[in-house]
Amino acid sequence: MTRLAIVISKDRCVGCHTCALSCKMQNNIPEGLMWNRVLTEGCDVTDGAQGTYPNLTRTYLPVACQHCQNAACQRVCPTGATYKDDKGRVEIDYDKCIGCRMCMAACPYNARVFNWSEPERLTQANYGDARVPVRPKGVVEKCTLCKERTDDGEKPMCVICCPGHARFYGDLDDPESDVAKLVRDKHATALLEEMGTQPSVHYFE
Amino acid sequence: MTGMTSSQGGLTRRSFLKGTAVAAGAVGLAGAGSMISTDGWLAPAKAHATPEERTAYTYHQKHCGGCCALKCTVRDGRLVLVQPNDVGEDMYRTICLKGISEVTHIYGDGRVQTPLKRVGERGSGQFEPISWDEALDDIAERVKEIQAQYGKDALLVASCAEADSTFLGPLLGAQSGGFTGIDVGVGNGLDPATGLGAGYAMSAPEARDWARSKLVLSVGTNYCESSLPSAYLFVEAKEAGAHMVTVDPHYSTTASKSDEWIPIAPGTDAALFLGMVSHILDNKLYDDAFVRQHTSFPFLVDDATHKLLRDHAEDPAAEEPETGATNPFFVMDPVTGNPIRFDQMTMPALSVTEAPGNVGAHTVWDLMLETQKPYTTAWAAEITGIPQERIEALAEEYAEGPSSLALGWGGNDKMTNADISGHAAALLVALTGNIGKPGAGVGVYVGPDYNSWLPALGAWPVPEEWAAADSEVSLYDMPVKENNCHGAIFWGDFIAQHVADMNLTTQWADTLDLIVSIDPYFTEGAKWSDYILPATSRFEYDDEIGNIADGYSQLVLQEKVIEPLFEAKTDLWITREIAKRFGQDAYLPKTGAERVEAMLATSTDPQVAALKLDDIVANQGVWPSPDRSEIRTVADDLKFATPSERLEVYYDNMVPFDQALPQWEPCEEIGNEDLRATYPLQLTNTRTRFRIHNQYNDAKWLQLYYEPTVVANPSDLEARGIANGDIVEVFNERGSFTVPCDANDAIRPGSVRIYEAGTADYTVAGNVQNTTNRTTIERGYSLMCGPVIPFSDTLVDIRKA
Amino acid sequence: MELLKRNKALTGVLAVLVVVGVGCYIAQLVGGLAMTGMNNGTSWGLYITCFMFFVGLSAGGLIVASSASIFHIKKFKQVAMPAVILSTVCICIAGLFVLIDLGGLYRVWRILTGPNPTSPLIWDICVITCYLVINIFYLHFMRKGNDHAVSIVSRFALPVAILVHSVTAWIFGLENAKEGWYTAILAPIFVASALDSGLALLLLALTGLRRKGIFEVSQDLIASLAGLLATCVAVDAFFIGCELLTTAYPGTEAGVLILSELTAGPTAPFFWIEILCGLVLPFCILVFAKNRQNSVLVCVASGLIVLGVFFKRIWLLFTSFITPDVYGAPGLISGSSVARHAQGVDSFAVISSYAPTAIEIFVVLGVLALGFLAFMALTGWLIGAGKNATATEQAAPATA
Repeated sequence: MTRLAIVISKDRCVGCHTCALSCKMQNNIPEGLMWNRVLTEGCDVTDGAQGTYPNLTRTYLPVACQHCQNAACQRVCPTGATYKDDKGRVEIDYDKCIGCRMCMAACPYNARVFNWSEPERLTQANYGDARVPVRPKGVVEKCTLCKERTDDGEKPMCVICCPGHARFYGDLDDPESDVAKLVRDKHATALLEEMGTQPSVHYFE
Repeated sequence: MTGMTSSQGGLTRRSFLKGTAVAAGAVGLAGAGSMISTDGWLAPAKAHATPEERTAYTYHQKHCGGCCALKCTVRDGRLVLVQPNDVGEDMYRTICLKGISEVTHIYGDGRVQTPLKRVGERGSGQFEPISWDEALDDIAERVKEIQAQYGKDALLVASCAEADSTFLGPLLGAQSGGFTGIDVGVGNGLDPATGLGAGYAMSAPEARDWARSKLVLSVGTNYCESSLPSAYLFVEAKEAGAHMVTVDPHYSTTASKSDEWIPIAPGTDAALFLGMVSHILDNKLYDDAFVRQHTSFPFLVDDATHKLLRDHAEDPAAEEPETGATNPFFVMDPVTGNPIRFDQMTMPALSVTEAPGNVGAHTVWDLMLETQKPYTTAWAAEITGIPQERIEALAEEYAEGPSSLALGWGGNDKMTNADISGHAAALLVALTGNIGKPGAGVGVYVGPDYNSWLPALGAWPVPEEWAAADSEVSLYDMPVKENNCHGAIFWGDFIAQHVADMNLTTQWADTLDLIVSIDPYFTEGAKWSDYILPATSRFEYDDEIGNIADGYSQLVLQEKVIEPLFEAKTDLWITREIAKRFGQDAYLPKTGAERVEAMLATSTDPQVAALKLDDIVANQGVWPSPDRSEIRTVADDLKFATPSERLEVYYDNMVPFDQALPQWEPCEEIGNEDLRATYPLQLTNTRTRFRIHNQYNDAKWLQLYYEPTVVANPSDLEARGIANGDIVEVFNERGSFTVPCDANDAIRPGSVRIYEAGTADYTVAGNVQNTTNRTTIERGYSLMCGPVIPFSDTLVDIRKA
Repeated sequence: MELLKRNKALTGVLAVLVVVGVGCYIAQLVGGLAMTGMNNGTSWGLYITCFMFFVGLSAGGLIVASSASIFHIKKFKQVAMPAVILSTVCICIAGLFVLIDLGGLYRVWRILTGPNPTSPLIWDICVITCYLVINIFYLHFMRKGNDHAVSIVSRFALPVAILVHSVTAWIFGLENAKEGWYTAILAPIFVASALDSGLALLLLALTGLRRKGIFEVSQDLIASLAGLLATCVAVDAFFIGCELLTTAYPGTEAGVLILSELTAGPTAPFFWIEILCGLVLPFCILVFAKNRQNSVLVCVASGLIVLGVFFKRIWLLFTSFITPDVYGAPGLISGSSVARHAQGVDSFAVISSYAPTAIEIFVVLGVLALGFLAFMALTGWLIGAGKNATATEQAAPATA
């Protein structure tokens, strides 16, 4: 089996949002939506800190679809628009999405966003990879693990753009892959493991 | 607060922003038809053709030192995708959020779309569109008038780092505005010791060298934001085992990525270094052989003049300082006690007390031992707020080495005592020998290309008579000192970005007979211009090849990605058109390609000179420097670019200021306890990943993450009854600005932080520079690069707006 | 039709509301759900609140009617007709709210061609459809006076009614991403809430019909229904108490957070009003037999219960949306910048908030008005003007 995944070093992440914007560009994501967000964990201001000066900590947490093996979104989708593909990715068939947003309520990561209106782009034109389908008003979308790129053997855009070299991409089911080794050797963990979603995306310190 | 606020009086922030979006693109352009509407310009060129897609290569900002090589996808004539150029090794495939934001930014509301002529008061932002010919004719005419009446140097042609503007100033014989007053604070004090760095402290090895350091001590630098494309080098060094310690008043991004953050009182970096020096001296942690052989510590200083003993007096009119070979320094023979030429003694006496007799001189070392006496670690702890034990341990760790001392431009650099911290850092380096060996270095590590294997580019040959005039008064002093500047052509925003105390700056600007602003974007400073000329962005060109640059250990080519947008023209075209009106255009390159070929052919590096443009094009617009697999280091041979080829820590020219060796001095404004009683908060102006100075102010994708916001410690806000997210006025006697405020524990109590270049179109009201301190200290004019503008040596208070 | 004609002013107002609602819905179809206050953080809003609420309201009627048959509670039989009408109208409204909430209504047929059996929504659609069909049969057989058929249908009706509330609850209660939803007691709470709000609405409707002289109900029956209502309120309160205690007791981070939001956060007013005015106060009124004889007091209590349950739907739904499971600035990207009037940093929200827009409120009012009209028409047809065959034919289009 194949289980494509992104493994993220929290120590290397400098919180720059490049992954988030490269994703927005690559995937032609309209205004008001993001598939990938970099959170200053536990803080209510960006680049905030936990603790009291000068005893402080800060972690940046990039969050996108975790491509769960036990995906809550996929389970609740009434039409099968959300599905798990043969490469272990959670994908959406936009033609089947009826816009009920069950999946958004079910996703513990708030990874899913909805086309509340006709997609609006600053340039009034599509940008990004021409292979990426354009989503209409009324459907849910989210990180596809750069399906169009990874299908062609390329790395996801966020991985190639990350200035901290904090993002690693590969097949978790291949024990020799970088990501499998990182998960093994660095004791990488998943977000909200207690939810039992078994994400493919992993994080390590 | 002059016209700026009145122009927005009564409007809400949002409606004002909307208003400016229109104003920015086409200020008062009623009737200009489709020119005003972005839609018309942005409509696909070939509406019914099948989408055509192609790839072009260019480079991004030189300004941040990233100079990222980019691979751009163009569809239907539009830029749709920007990604790292995938030629070469992974480490050279860099990009950051600013590069990506260009996909929408270059089409943004902030672009100047047509040449504009001012119709309202200066600063009112009222302009009307005019044709290029009309604008250029008018400008040429007025430049001629000004130069005829007041002399050639009455025209100022100043350019920011991003513009392709090299020819215009020299061809008009204009002055360039002299020193910049920016980024020279620490370098002014450090660079005379190393002879490197050009006053900007750019004397560091490549940041890759950190992986070989035991200690990387970052002071006043936020590498993980300001050198974003190579941020990975910071974390890789940490993973390689370097102890990453960051000294910063605030818990910066770099601080949070370090092994340890040492909070320090703002403007006291010099005190920390001086305390460390004392501890190193007291505990004999210095490298004795290095000190005697590679520094000026053993040099003799005349007891009478307090100047270094030389063979003969220097001719004050000499263009270049004499070298140690032609005019030697003297050291003391430890056996005989006699002065002896420094180059004839391998192990000279460090102190005159090592030998008998009295030569009427003392060594630099002797003087330092004396001047360092007050600067105990206990004293330093008091000044800096860092525990004494921590300063001592840090000194020990630094001395043990190999250590990198990473200094910066964004912290203490913007304060009046910055040169003292640079000078004190030089003492630390000279004592410990933490330079010229793997894992050791000093200076600014920010900007991957600055410290890399830069291929030597030649230049387009220009006529000899083309020469810029001298600037007797630097731009930052023009508002307060008599000078001959009567007209200015600015590439970039000099009025709001390059000078502090903006209300004073704009008063001065209003006295000029002509101001021309050339910029792709409508800036704050442009509002004071008589003409605004729309320049192309990095991605547009009127020819297949635009320019070439020395990037991160590689040459990178600017290819045309898309056609110029709106009516924008390239800087070269604008220069050529102005030159034409002065009968000088024949000397300029006709095309970008012609220029690039000349820049290659005239290189001093035979490998570069042999390069053919087509070969670079064929390699995706990149030519890698041949040595780049090696980490580029500095002064491996321990020969420095000083007259004696040693680290020269004693500054003769600072004797009148009692700073021949670094002497503690508090900052001019934030050290003023009386003023602090009225304005208790220091306002620090820092750099951020979201901007390069004022660039990207209008990039909508970056605005998602940052709008000008003053950030304060929750305790300071509570004391003023201000809540997170409130709109506050930041004010002092010079002026004020109004922005939202964030409560963030990362900010040191007693300080508030805002990122640079918050200009009035992006704040709720006012410019950050309305409040900043412009004081230039007297000593500054004797420093390498003139005084630094102490933007962050600013006291303010805040109140709920 | 008779009823509609007789109350021209009311009918007119309701018709205007329906027209306005339809207009707003068309605006929503064109502009997308961006016309609502929903966003990526709070991705369900007033429509889904109303969906839950009306599924619940429809219960009372059918349960009363079918208990009458199954348990041979004679006196309940008298009110079976208005009860089932109410139930039918309410379930139609509930279904309508789901459709209105869909972003891709024109793809809704995908549910039929590729249903995903693990989705609670699919089962809810099935159960609601069954429930509606049963209601219609119920009405049909009652109208025909076929008691035998009615008693057979009622045997199915009761379990299906229970199931409707349970499956609706499971849409929420099975999502462990939402601390405030994920509880085994959610289905019982939904059933209990359905019973009390449904009964309360039935009581209001019966009192209303009685006052209008359309349908005579004995005060005794009202009193005994009110007694049943008091019991249901007590059961509802008990379940909620169980849930609150279970959430609070271990003192987990998530539990404490949800409780603090519930008791002192943005949904706290709804919570406290529901507890005090929707449970405690009506129970205190109805627990005394004397009060149950007082139809004004019964109406007040019923009104409070209906309002309380509506508020409960609000706090149940929204409290769990407030704080994302993965918390940090800049937070959630809200959604459409047009609809949210958000620019720059305001496009994000660290904690999620929601307020319905005017469009949303008018759509809801339109649907309520339509329901009211339908109830009036059906009542007129099946009760008030049951003998008038021509009125029947005319009533049909009015309810469509």
